[in-house]
Amino acid sequence: MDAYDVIIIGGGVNGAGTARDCALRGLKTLLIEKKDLSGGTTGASSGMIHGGLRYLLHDVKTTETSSRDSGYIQKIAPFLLFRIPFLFLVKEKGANMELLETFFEVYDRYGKLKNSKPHVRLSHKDVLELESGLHFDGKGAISFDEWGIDPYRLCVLNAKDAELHGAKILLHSEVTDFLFQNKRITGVQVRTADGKKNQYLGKIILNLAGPWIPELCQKAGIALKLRPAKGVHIVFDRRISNIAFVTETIDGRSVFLLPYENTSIIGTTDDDFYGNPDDLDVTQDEVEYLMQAIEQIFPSIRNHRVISTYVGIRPTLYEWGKTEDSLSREHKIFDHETEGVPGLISMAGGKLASYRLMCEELTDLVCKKLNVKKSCETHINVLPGAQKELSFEELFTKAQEAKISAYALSRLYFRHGYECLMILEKMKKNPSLKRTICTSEPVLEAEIRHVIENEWATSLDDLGRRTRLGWGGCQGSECAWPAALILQEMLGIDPQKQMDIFLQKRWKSISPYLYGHSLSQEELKRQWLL
Amino acid sequence: MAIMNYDVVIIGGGLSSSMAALRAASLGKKVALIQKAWGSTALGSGAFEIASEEGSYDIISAIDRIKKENPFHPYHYLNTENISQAVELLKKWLPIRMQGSYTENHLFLNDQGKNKKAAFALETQFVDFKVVSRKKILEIQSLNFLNINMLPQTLAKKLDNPEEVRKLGQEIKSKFQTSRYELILMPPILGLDFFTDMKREFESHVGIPTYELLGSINSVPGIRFQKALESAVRKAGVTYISGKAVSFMQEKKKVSSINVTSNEKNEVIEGNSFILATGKFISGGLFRDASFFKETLFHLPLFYQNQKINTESVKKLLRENYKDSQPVFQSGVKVNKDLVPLDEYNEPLFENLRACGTLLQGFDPYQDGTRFGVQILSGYKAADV
Repeated sequence: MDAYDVIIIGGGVNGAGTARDCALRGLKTLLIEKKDLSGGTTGASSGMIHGGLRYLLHDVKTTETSSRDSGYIQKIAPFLLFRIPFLFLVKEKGANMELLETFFEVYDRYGKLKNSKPHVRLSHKDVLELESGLHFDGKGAISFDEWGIDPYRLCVLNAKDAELHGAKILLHSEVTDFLFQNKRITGVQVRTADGKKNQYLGKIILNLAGPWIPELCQKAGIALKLRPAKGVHIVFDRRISNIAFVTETIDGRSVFLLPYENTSIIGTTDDDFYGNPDDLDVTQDEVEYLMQAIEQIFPSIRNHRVISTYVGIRPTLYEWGKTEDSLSREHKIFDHETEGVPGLISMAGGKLASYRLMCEELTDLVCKKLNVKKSCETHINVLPGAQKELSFEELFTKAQEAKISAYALSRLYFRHGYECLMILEKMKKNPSLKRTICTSEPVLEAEIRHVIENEWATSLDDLGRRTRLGWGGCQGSECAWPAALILQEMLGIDPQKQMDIFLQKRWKSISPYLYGHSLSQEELKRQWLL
Repeated sequence: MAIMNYDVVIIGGGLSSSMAALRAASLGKKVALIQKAWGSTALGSGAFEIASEEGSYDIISAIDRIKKENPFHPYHYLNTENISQAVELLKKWLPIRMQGSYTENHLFLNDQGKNKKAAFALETQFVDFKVVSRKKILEIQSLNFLNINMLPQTLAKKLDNPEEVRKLGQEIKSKFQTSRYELILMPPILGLDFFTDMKREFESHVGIPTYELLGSINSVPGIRFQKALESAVRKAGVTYISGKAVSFMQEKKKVSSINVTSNEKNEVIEGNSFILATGKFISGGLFRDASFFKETLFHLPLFYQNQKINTESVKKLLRENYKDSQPVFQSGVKVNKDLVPLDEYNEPLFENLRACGTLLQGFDPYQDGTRFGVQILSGYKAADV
């Protein structure tokens, strides 16, 4: 039986980040994930490592940790980030801008930690000049600056780095039970992808399964209460505004419209969730709630094409008596030794922006228990691909040499950093790898083969998370089949089964919004792909 | 503003409207066809389905089964036994050949490796699998190796040139050593306007018979068929009016004219009888949003299983499995046996209006394998006044 220092359950950004930290400190690490990396909460996030503007009011600590750690993430994976300038719209004509600016001046101090530009005050005229699609007659706006990030790439690169430093990554494997010696947890029982049962021993087991944390704790005889909250986003087929803006819903919550890579996103909801995290769907009410909020100030939103919706569960810390919105976003480590179950530690809460810090705290605790005197280096060591930065001019030249579009190479750089040159070399040697599989991104055949070989991609959804294949306007109508054929060639997987799973998921995600052009697109897909 | 008067005015440019146009013209009527753009007919695979079932190739029994399983299917009021009349009329005018049978389905393969049963197909796609053993067939499902980074229709247009076909033929011959095979099956891109000639050209270079798979994504055969339909309808003496039908005028319970706008002008088309064949969502015949779900020109009410629907919640109109027949795609205009649209009290809304094609309620056109049958039969019947 394999024995490890640390076994991590959960392949989200916390699991992958902790695996990396442990591996970097020399611990023999195993990461076990039920499905695919970033397939749960991480993948359902808004895709920003933001400072948590609204937490400034009641949860300052979250703003501080998010901002500081956002700064660290920029250092270790600069290529994954992109700027999202925001407008905070001031709707009341009689609003006190000075008072509001005071608030943003405080936020600017945290913004320095993450290299964000300081706020600017805009007049009503400025606002309409900047964003003519707004239906707005308020006083003005205040800008603030946030960073967008690809959460899937962040998660995968953390796992990749963990593996490079000796960790073992086990995907599509489910922990079915814990192994006990008296009251101490000594390992896990796992059902692997091929249906076989395996046992792994671990000195310390970390439960980082997000929404599934309570379910796993139950297997250890522990009742860990969380307050899981469902969040929904709507995705459009293109960038439809120049900047991102925040507005209010009918019940006074803040929601946003973001230009996000080659799409636009509206988000998000926050509702207590009592169901099964494996079975989530988006309701028509949730979509309508978000659309109406944005429609108030951006009326043309209804004319744009929705391409999908996505949903996830936040593993928020438990508190009774508060509304979802006002719950703390702090994280907490639960050392179950204090409850009489040594060997198991869970960690919940937190935000995407502070993942690295959460993992650092957890790994510090693990090292303390294992008497390992190594300190954290995850904020200093860069992720794979960040070893050297490439300028746009360099990318442009290299693209010309290799005879592919500069834009395609810049997207490769965005996802893989310096490693994109290695993928480029393969294309130079074998020109057939330059073939564009997904035109929305674009995703070239070389990248698909690369992530299958090096990043544990075994399905169309896995490819989607790693390369955004099938996530653009066509939602896979054109690219899913050729990609499925590549999966067949490299892994022997049945391509029609892949298509079925993929198309079923797409159908589920568009079902709440089968109107207008979205409905025409579904009719088209039916004609092409049924 | 020009005003023109016709016996029959047809709105829509796809298969059912073309069928109606050919039928009306054959009865000696003066016919106008208003076409806004290409719709789902131009997206077809090249195969034409009447009805099929698992485990059998018999079309007649498949039609009976469909009628039994779906009491709202248009086949209940369309005379399926007369399908040969309609198809023969179409074939008479169509400048390209369709091959197949009214009684027995044929097996086809598409460029996604899916088996499909259909009654007819374009002749370049109609291959008899019984003639040669599967091992002797060279199946080229995609043209990956050719580094082709263009849309299929762009490639097909390029291959309208015999020199390009020769190059492709030589490349495939050497790459696959075609002499080892007896038949080639390849993606349907061998020419756009001259595809029957180009197929022969290709065969002369590879040395063995070549057939095309059914199209799926960005299918070229649909375009070939659409262009052939337009040529047929023109030859039959029907007047094409290019533009969007935006509104209509009525006198009492009769439609009197249609207002058509285009980039150049506005026209008023007057007629004695009108046929609506504007399709579903792709072509804009039907439109749905949060507060509206109607047919878009006459605002005809829509029905699912004879129940009038408005802005029903998603759950009622969708089935969880995308492969199942979907109520949202089965919803459409309710008609009597003469194809006159009805309201929820079964009263005709306009005395001189008929509806045909995929905008009819009762079937999911891309799922239940009866699209061609319904389009042909309803188009033919709608013009049979």
